Amino acid sequence: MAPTREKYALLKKGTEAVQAFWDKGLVGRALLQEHTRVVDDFVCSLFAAAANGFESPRGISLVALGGYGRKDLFPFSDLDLMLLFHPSMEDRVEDMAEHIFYPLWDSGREVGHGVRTIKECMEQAQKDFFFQVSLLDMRHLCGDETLTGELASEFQRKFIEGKRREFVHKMQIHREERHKRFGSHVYLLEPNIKESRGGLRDLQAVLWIANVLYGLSGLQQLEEAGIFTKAELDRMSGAWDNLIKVRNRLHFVSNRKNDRLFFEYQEQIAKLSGHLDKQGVLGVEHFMREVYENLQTIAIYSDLFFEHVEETVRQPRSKAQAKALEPGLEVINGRIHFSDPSLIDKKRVLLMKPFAYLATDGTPLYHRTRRIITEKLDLIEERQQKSSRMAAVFFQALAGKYAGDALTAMLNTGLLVKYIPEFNKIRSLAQYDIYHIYSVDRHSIETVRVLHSLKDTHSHIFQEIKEPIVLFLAGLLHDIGKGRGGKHALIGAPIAEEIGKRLHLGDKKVQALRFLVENHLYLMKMATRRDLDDEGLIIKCARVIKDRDLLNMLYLLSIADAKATGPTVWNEWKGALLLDLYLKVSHLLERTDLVDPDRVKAVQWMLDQIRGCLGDKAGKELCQLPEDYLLSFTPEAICHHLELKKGLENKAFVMEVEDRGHYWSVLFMAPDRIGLLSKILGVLALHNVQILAAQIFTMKDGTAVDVLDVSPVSGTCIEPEDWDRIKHDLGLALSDKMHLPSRLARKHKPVGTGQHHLCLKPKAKVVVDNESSDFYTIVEIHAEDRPGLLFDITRTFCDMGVGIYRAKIGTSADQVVDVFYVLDRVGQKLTEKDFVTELENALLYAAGCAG
Amino acid sequence: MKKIEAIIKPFKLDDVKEALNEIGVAGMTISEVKGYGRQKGHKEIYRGAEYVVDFLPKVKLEIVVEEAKAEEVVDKIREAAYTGKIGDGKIFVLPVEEVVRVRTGERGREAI
Repeated sequence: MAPTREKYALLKKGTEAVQAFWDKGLVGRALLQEHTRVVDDFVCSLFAAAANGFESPRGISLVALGGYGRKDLFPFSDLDLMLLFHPSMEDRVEDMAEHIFYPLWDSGREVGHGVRTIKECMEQAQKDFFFQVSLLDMRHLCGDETLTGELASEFQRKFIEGKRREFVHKMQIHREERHKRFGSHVYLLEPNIKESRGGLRDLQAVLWIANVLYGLSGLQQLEEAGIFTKAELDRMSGAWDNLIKVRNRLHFVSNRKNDRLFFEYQEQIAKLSGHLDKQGVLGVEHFMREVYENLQTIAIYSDLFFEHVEETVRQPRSKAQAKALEPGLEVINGRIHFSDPSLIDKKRVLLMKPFAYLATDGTPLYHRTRRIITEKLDLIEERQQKSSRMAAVFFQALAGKYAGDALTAMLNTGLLVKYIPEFNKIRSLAQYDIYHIYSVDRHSIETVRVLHSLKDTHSHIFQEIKEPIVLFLAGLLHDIGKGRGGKHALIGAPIAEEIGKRLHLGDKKVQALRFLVENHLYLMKMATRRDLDDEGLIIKCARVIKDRDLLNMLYLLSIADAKATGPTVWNEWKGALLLDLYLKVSHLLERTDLVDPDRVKAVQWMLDQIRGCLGDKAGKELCQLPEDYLLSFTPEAICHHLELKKGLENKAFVMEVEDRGHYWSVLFMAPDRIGLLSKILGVLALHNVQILAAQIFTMKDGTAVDVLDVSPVSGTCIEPEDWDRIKHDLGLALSDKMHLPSRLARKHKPVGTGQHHLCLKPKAKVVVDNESSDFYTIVEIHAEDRPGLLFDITRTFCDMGVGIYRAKIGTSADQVVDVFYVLDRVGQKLTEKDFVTELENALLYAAGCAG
Repeated sequence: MKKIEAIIKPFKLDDVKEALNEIGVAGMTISEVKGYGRQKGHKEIYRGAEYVVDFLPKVKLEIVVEEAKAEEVVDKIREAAYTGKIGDGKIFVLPVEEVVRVRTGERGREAI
């Protein structure tokens, strides 16, 4: 009988078949079995049609192999079929094969086909381990059942009996290779549902080995044999069903044989399986969390199983020596064992102890140890969570060199979540973006692991950290606020604080922990999104961080966080930016005056006042104002300056004079340029005005604000109309129409009085300081006062192309102390040695008597 | 057609991107690059450890536009990337011979 059109059409597309089953409410393993049944019917009808005339064909049978043999048919699975024949049927078999395989090929299904005798099967199996494995799952479909039976027993005799160890060994090697190829942890961004660690293949490997080694078939028998408990079996079985669902949907949406859960499909499958966005977590993140948990379950139990197997097949050597660690714990064969599990009930801290040992020297936990811990998790109650003894052991696990391994084991056994229940929110929590390769819990543990590695690479900074445990704990908890919607750093801070208190961390350390969690994104954001050449920004950072120890920890945490996120997140480029920020903030933190809370308050008060008088429009102007400037004037004065600044739109400069009784206060504002200050001072000197004190600032937009306290040189006085002349001359000087040096030389020519002779202490001192500021070279000049001195000094700077950005000029007695913050022509600090020497000499010359 | 390559300070990337969006430049290639020009790297010894920054981190933008638009794009980039300090970057304008869209095979203007 030929296959009906209806069946032919149904078989044509796996997706259609699966859709039909879904409509009937079939899912998981039940769906696969139904799918298999439909395909079986179809294939067997082909066989029957091909064997037309033979009531029961002898010497030929059709055998399903591999996944099809196991009845694991996904929409696009291969149909692994073999036509088995007795050599006597050689002339019939070709015709049979054509009748069976051609319609199957036409149907568009992937068909793995073989036409073999038993002898050929054995030869093939000898060469190909995978063929051996697929024979393990062989299933008779139709035809000569005795022949299929012969193949089965021949295979058992040749490849299994007496060779179980060898088979298991090969299987383990293949499993390891597969993990290497498809990722050795389950939290891949795009896991392969079949081949990745924890995938369906891992479960299959368990079943194969159980079959070969113990003659057990199916999970149920594994429980009956006492290899898994009922609870373990239920978990495994549930995970298995879920992964089957995912794989079915994956084939369905990708419309091809694809087992990798590509990013683009995740959202679609999440929707298909009814995962909605809730509590700030995307539906797709819920979905991926479930996938990871399922993969993780299979991974954990297949690990346990394989360790168990390894133990049973290991060549019995001399009896292993047990090495006692402490009462209740010992090391046998390089694994940590509970010597007497019943002790745990009396001494619950024993549940945590194995992890402390593991963290210290890397000795792994025996698989029974892990299972005992999982079984006894209920012993961890509120009292244990708050116990200081337990906390001390937990800290050992966190601070040990192998903390990453210890925490992973702690998470896998369930202890971590039981001990720190807040961790449950981020357990297996997926992050739907392209750069997080781990779920949040794994990422947190990875961060701790990287922090430990920074001990070597960043030893200088690490050594300075006073309480490394705070840093490790911050690494573990920095993302604890995720999965709750909103800004996770802010949300996580109080949670971390709570945990810190519970772990008896001590008040100061708790606050540090809170700070680190709250600000763990801060440095990276500043480094990549802000102008690191802006001194104001660095001051701001320094004030947020306040303390070198915190800065060190935050810096290392930022690096570890980025490195633990994924291979694309951390690179040298980001590292260079972060280092730049770190060093600049470090330097500033050593200047305690800048982070003085009084100063911070004063700046804030000033800004508030100015905002008060300027109103809404103040915003943009306010960030132009350097802090020193803010702290040097009254709010009213600054508002007035800002008002005057508008005049610069159509004037080259603004000048304002105020009579202060015994001196005058002069305000200049102009777009800054090299030589501006020198011209102002020159014009003033020309008009017999001497400088008592001066404060020079440059706003961030390049407007210079110079405030000079001046008085007439002795024997003269300043009339109001003099200021008009000064203003006029300044206009000429600034437009290069007046040559100040020659005018001043003529004016100060030593006629009669011979001013040079009055120069009794011609010694001047010049100090160039490149250390105190990351942003400016600071030049300090001590000199004897004389008319035109400041002009000579500032002109020297101008001659050498050095710009003055900030200055403080003061006269005490006859000694002038001037401090200039300067940069070279292109805005860099003066770092060239020869140039600095040249400048020093030039300034010494200028500040000397010669003038 | 012109290709515009701009090397800018990393923190200016968002500003420049925004400015270009405003004038309808929707596509660009962005890379993290390192180098030096007038602004040099530096070496620092801090608390006993030596920190060397040989090359300075910058961002490189690559944009291909019609010839008529190149000038505007250059102006916008300059405006947005400007801080007035050393290391603000450079903008290069290069002639482009041909553009082909891989998916459709379109050429020239259509492919930009």
